[in-house]
Amino acid sequence: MAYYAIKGGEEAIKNSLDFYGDITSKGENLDDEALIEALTFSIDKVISEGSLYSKKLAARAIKRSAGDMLNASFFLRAHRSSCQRIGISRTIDVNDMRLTRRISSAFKDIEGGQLLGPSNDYEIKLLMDLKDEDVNIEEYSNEDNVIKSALTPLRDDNLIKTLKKEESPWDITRNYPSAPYPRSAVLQVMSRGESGSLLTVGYTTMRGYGDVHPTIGDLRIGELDINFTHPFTKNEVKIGSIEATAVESVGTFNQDSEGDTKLTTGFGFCFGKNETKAISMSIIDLTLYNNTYSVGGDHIIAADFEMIMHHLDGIESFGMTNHFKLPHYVTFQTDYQIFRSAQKYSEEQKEEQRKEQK
Amino acid sequence: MRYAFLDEEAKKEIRRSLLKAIAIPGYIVSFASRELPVARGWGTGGLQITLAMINEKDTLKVIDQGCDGSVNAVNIRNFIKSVTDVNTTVDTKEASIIQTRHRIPEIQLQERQTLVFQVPIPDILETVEPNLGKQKLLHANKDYSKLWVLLYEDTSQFGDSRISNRYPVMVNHRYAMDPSPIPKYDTQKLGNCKALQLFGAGREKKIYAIPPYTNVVPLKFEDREFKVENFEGKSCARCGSTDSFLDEVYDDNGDTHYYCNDTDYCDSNLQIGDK
Repeated sequence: MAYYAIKGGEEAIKNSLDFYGDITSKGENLDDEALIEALTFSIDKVISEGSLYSKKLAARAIKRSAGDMLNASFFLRAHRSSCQRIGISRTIDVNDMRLTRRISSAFKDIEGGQLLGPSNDYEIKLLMDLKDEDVNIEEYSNEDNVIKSALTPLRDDNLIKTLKKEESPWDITRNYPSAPYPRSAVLQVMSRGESGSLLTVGYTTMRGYGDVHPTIGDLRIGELDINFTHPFTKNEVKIGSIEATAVESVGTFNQDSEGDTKLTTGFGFCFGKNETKAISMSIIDLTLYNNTYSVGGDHIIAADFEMIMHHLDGIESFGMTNHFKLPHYVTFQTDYQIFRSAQKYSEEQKEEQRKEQK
Repeated sequence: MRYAFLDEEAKKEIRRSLLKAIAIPGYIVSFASRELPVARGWGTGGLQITLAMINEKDTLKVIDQGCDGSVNAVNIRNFIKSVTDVNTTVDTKEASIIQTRHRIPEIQLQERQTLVFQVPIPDILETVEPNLGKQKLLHANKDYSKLWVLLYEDTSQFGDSRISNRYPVMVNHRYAMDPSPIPKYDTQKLGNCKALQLFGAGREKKIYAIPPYTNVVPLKFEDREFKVENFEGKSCARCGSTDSFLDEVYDDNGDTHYYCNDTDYCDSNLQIGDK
């Protein structure tokens, strides 16, 4: 009999990668720019979850993964680790966004108006084409379209509960905090979390596991400038701009730290056009910090910092889930031996009971 | 690409975390944990420790489930080799750094060696308390009552603990520690070990350590025997060894055979036989 051995690992991996290469190589001829233009939402999902703003690398990652999006995000994360940090940009304010889309469900009309922009919200989901009707397309440019959040009037009137400001924001990529978790760290975790995971947790609050009853106060998509202090001239310079989504949702009123009754809000922010993710994030943020009326007992996942801080990252949950494919024969052997001895023990116990009954 | 992939800032942070971990045996130290080109859960904790400490003088051995040729071991070894160009070996005696998943080599390790464990779940208290904040508090108070209750309940129902691997150990009479999913058979090698033992959990972002010659004992009741995996009456079908952890293998006819799990141990037994 041949010596069994999983020892052919080296060759097995090579062959496996070779077969896999047959699949992924089919995408090699796809043009990066075309992919960025045509599959813009896929690109945005990957830059957001990979937490690296590079549409070009995202396109390459999607091709290298043959469209497996978690894997594509993982490529970006791994690449991110090898990038040297040069410095920290100036804080950006989403009120400065050059808008391509901005809506508020809280008000019928708002300053600047409801700007639907490019959206599939009112698309009829039929795979066949309906008869085209002529539409008059308004001339539009985002250049001069900078409007503050629709919640600004409420904020100016001091009606919105504010949380204590942190002296400097945490950076989860350089130091992962222990409980109690600073809000900046919680928001970072969510911002680069897996969209589906955020959606699931956010959705639980809408079915009774949490009691925040959100209204979308302001949802915006657009461009934000990134400014950086020049290391030599010390002048502030614009080094680029990013496309991003930001959401402020409004919840029930609650008391703030001063005992004043205020409206509560939650914030969601992520790279690219990711409305579902940003909405989910804002609702989870709202639930985490305003759970006093919450129903659903101890099972409110969305109000549990431990749940949020350790279960939303796609790269982590995907890696761990897939690791079960690794050989586990040593641990299974130990499980099996314990199982057999426990089985033997309970049979002996039964036997003894039987004797006693006689 | 940088030597050993990680940037110097990351290496510095990992080394500092390692020093703290060694200074407080069994204590869990948080670290930032960079993403690597290897998936989370596939050994990224061990890998980061190895990458942070390796240099040209090192000789590296990587094993997975006791085997140098196992798919994941090959993958990790090739990756480290490609970013460091260090010498690699399958010989346990020759290695200065041994990165391992789920096993401790059969032969006794020596003072100049470092054993780096890949850890999926760094805190043993996770079995009884999943909340990280509460876990930290329990460790601070050396409150391991929940582990003892679990052990008691298991013993009363099944005659022994149900924990088959990653069996809880007490390190230096102070911290209850998760030794990674090694068999109970290997638990006994942790204590008074001549080599430095480092543990890395990449996904969970934790590092801990057992310095050489540290007291490490399994958590057990005084009047109960600590039972390890038993291969009595069986021997390796390849080298004939009766004193090693054995893998149970079914051949195409459905017959069962046993082989040394530690493939280097098996190979060296055969070499001795040849001489």
